Amino acid sequence: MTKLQIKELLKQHHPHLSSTLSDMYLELSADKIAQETDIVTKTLLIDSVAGKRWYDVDTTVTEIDKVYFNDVKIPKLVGDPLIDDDEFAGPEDTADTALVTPSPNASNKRMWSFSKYDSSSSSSKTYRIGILERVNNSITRDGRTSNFQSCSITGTKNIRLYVKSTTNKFTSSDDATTATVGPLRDIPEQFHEVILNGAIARGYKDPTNFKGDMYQFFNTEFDLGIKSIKKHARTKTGTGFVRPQSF
Amino acid sequence: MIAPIEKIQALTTEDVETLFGEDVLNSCFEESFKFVNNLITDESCYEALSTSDLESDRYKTADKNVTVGTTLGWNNDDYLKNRRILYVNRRLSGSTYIESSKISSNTAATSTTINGSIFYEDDPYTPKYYASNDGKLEILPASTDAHVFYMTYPKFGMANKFNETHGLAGSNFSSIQKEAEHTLFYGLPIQARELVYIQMALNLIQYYMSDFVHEEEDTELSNLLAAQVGSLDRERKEHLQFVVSTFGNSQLGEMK
Repeated sequence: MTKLQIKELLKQHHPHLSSTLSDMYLELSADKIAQETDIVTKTLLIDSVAGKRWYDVDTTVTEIDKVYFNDVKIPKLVGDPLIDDDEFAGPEDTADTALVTPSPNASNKRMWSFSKYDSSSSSSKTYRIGILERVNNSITRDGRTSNFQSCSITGTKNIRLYVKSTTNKFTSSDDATTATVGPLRDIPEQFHEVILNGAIARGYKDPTNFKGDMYQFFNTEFDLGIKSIKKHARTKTGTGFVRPQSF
Repeated sequence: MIAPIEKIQALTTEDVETLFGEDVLNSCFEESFKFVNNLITDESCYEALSTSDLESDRYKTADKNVTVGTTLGWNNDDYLKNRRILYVNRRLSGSTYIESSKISSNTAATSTTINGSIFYEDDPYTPKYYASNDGKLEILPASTDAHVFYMTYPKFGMANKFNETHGLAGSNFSSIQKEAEHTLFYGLPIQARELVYIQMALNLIQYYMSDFVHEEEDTELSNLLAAQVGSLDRERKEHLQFVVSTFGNSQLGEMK
């Protein structure tokens, strides 16, 4: 379905919605699908900087699946290194002495780490990914020694993140006669009706147009749609598994 | 075909002109027309206009602003005076127009311009329109290119720029000849004309009763007129039911 068709169908149920609100309901519905089914995936590129450990990731990212550095898959570091590079901007520790930038070495064994702590409390919520290198006794501070130093290589678009994310948003310049704008491009076309059902259900929760029975009906349709998408994601796009059989 | 004044004479009395004068006759017709017109849908109005002998520029405005002549652009001051808006179609591109929906004037003048508001309007595929405080028609997202379909209510003696559909600036109800009867009813389906006449006759009789009968306490005349009112009222109910059921509901099965 195109954006125009979806909005026209939504208008049949909720004729008084503003264009912003109808877009918002569709986006909320699509984001719930993304959150519940993990069907929305994409890759992102980040530039590495020698001496920089933590990199903000896009606000749309909900989960990082895997990371490649210079096209080489790097493992995830479980747990925290003993010594961290304090790279917070808000609040910033101005009395802090930054860790020394390590000597560049392309052969260092690298790992990635995930931090849910925002680099700045004044910006919008972002997660951070850390790039670390394992070099024996590389950092010493306060009498302690750590084997994990920050990234030693500066590169352009050399960190590729494979992530699960929220959906794209509609814009006023969208060509509404297509099915590839905003969240519609993130969710397979056969499931566009699920987005619509979620938006219709949300509309019936509005105090201006509250209808409990209609809400129940469309919410059930929406939930069934989510189940279908989950099944689709497991069987059509996942690797699946071999069910054990006894003979 | 019958001259409108003769029709009213037939429903009331031969002396209707001398009893009431032009102003009362004109006013009664105008009010009756509005009453019936407001019973019918925009679609029925539009069909009645587009199938009449009217030129389309008497029920369609294509210009945003007009600075010369006796017509108005849809964004001119007082455009909405004495006017019923049927459709507002905003141009998307080329010859493609998209129908706009009406929104609250106050919301439109406030929240729709705030980018972060849930009422913000900026989608050319779902355009909106509203009446501004100068009697202008405004379209969102802002546009210079739109087609506005409308009808003006008949108004005897009013300047033609507020009376474009019927063009009655130099006429009185009683001066309309039988050949021109249809010009009074632009915007109404032909089947609804009778209801306008009956409503007008009832209005006139009520005028008469309050002006003459009650003041002079003529109970005999009062009873006579009450019987006539009763008869007309029964007829009015029948026509009203017909008009509302035929033209008062959308026949397209659409939800708007």
